[in-house]
Amino acid sequence: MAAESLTLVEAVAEAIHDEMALDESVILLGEDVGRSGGVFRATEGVYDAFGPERVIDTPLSETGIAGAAIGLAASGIRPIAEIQFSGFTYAGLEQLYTRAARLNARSRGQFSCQMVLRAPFGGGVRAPDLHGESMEAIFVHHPGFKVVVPSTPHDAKGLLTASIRDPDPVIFLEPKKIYRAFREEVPEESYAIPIGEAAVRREGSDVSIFTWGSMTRPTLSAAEAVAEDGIDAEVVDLRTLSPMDRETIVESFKKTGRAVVVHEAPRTGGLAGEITALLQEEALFYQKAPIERVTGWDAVYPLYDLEDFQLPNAARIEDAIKAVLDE
Amino acid sequence: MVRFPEEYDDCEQIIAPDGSYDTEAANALELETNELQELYGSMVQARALEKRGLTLQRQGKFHFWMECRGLEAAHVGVAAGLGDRDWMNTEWRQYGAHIQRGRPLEDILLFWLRGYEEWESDTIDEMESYERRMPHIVAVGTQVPQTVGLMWGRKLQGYDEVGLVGVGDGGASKGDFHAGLNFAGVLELPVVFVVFNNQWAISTPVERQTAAETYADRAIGYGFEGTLVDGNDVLAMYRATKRAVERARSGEPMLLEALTYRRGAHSSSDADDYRDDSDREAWRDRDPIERYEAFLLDQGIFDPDDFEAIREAADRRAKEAAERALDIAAEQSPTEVFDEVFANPPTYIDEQREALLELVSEHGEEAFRW
Repeated sequence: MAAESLTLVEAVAEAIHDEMALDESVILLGEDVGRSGGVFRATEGVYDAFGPERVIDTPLSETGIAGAAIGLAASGIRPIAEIQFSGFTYAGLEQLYTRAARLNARSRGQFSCQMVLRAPFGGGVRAPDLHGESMEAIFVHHPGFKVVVPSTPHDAKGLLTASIRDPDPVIFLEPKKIYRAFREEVPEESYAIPIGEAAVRREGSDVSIFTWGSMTRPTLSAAEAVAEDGIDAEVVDLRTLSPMDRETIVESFKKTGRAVVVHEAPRTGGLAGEITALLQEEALFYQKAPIERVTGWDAVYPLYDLEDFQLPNAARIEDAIKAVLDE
Repeated sequence: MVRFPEEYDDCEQIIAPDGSYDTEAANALELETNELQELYGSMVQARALEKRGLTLQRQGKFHFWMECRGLEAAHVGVAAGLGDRDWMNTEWRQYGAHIQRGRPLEDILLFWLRGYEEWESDTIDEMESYERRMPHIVAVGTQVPQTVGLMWGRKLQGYDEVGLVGVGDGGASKGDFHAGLNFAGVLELPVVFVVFNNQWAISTPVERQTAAETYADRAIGYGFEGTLVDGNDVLAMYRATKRAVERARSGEPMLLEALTYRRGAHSSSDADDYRDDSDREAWRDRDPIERYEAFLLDQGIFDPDDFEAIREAADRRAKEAAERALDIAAEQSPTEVFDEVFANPPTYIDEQREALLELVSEHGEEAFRW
């Protein structure tokens, strides 16, 4: 199988390109996605390949982008809509909540809402306000959405391909901090990674660490660091947050009896709470220690240099691992 | 201050409130007798359905109902101006528009009883004209950019279809309205936008929605044309829509404002105690059905006995349709809670469905009813 070395953002562009070549009903719309190839270059080359009919720079309106994408999906087109930063999705939330997530239900399957809403998400690039939001929980909470967060170039391509082919509205959140952080071998041909399956990034027997997106790398670093102290940590990258791979989460916990959940998003109401509740329901009697949450603080996202204190880092994750093992 | 069409120099009208009409304009429509009759039938049927829905709500059989008294000409007129393959997205009180397109009454009523809609045809290609719609929206205004996207998609797929989207004077205050018209202008999409300016958004009068004299004037801001129409004149509404649809088909969107007045309450939950009876009376004198009756009489298309017979038949049909709809809705089962939440559902949907069914069988359905 031929492979190439890609960054995560290049893998995103490749998935879009491949799906548009494969299926002429796939189109791309958003702000600056065309000629400029997107502010992060996540759609580089797509306009040149497919032209202005299928790659459309829209007026600056997230309400319009989300609303038009819903209508496009109803018409039989498969739109990929880019929101320039996930924080700007707030303007389109009414469209997404009141329509995208319910179109299939309210029309009893007559009109599915097969669309992908892509957005660079999460912090770590020292950008202005609303450029660092981690808002996955609000989408997971609303029935009808699928929510996907890749953490590697290989997964970004395969998961985006699957998302474009999925008949439900998929919120595809791209961790922009690691858009260009590293390269990875990615198959040149098209492939899909099923939505709803977590990936065990590191096998271990002492503690399970559940995470996703850009937090996967510091979590793996922390796991390596504690290995020197003889702690064997398992790292589970959820990849899809809705539907969550409950089976993999529960099985890992049954094996280790200890858990740490790591996410960038604020603590209160965050998905760490959901995962903890799942473990209480499904595997309470396997539990050996209180479950630790390593999350962003419940703060309005602090900007620029203060971001350092908001985002979980390897040191905090190591502390949490040690805390659950000290019990 | 309540507005009237005659206050505007450029408000389109064919039949005046007193029933006198512009013969030349009426003839130029080239409507056959049966078509003119159908417009009347649809308006009368809409009013009969509204009355039946309200009765059923008062009897506790419907949870909620919206009123359309006085708006029938605007609703029926726009639907009549569409071609069979065209699309129409509305808010939920526009009964006459759906009736004019041939939608079965029980289908309209079932939306109110079950909260979802169903389609007979499996694919868009097979759809009858009344099926060429997206489900009703409840978040007013959101249908505007959605219709733009819908028609954009149909155009991309090579279909020569126009989409008409209706929004109220309240909904037109939403950002969605602006986003939708702006997208349509920039992308040159075949969409006709209709503001049904019925002058009240629940208790908020039109002058609290906009400081502008008309909604039609907004079109210039989007690079296309707008026109103001007497919303209680079904022929004027038909003519303006037909013209707009033709223009939209050539890639130029258009905005229509139907100036009308909601004589009924906003909904069955609205005490409707916030406005002057004199306004309502003034608009009752401009009733769209009575005005059209004067035209039909003068044209010799119907006589007064016909009107009576059509009204009675409409009442009967509304009553029968409501009975059928109530019967169908009574068949709902608790498992429907989970139907079509996803097109490709995750397994936990099945788990939760089973959990609910188990609880229902353990406690009995009565334990869940409140």
